[in-house]
Amino acid sequence: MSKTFCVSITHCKTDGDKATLGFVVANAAQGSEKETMVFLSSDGVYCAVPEEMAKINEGGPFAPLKDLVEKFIKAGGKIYVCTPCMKKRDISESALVAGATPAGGAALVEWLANGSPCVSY
Amino acid sequence: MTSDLPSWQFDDEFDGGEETCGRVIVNLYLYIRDQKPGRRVLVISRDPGAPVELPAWCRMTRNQLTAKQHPYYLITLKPELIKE
Repeated sequence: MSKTFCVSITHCKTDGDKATLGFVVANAAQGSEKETMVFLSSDGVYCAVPEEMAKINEGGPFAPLKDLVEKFIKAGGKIYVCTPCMKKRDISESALVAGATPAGGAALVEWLANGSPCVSY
Repeated sequence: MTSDLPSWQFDDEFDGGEETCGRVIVNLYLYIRDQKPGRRVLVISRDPGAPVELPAWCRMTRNQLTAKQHPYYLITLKPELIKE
């Protein structure tokens, strides 16, 4: 059984439901002792921007996205944020939540090529 | 309807409340991660997915599901790591 896991999220403003669900599953993975990477790309990069994540709240039974992201980081999860996707949206590194790291496709490819399963939202 | 708590012996209790899915799992993980192997934790989860979720979590994390009677789950932490 793989010891790592990846959740790819490509939505935030465009679909808060998918963004929320992605982080719920990421929390399940990290909480199940899988070393878990959330890879944020396309519109999903906004999930790592505090003022944008704060706008996403799908309501019960889902926790606000901000809570889910903070819980994931507290549990030791990694968040990688697609750098060209950030640049396209004029998001600087300093605008990211603490614990999120700008990264590119190579980081994702390496993670998956080492045998990590991945689920996408 | 919640059934009565079985007459299990346990050292600690974690109530997952009405949370579901990843919230229960990550909250439980954060709660037990600094506890010693061998401790018996009563987990209460009213999540209708819990009968499937918690056994899967136990298999992945090598915690032992010692007994279950939804919404009650008796989990023995990391029995393989108990030092004699």
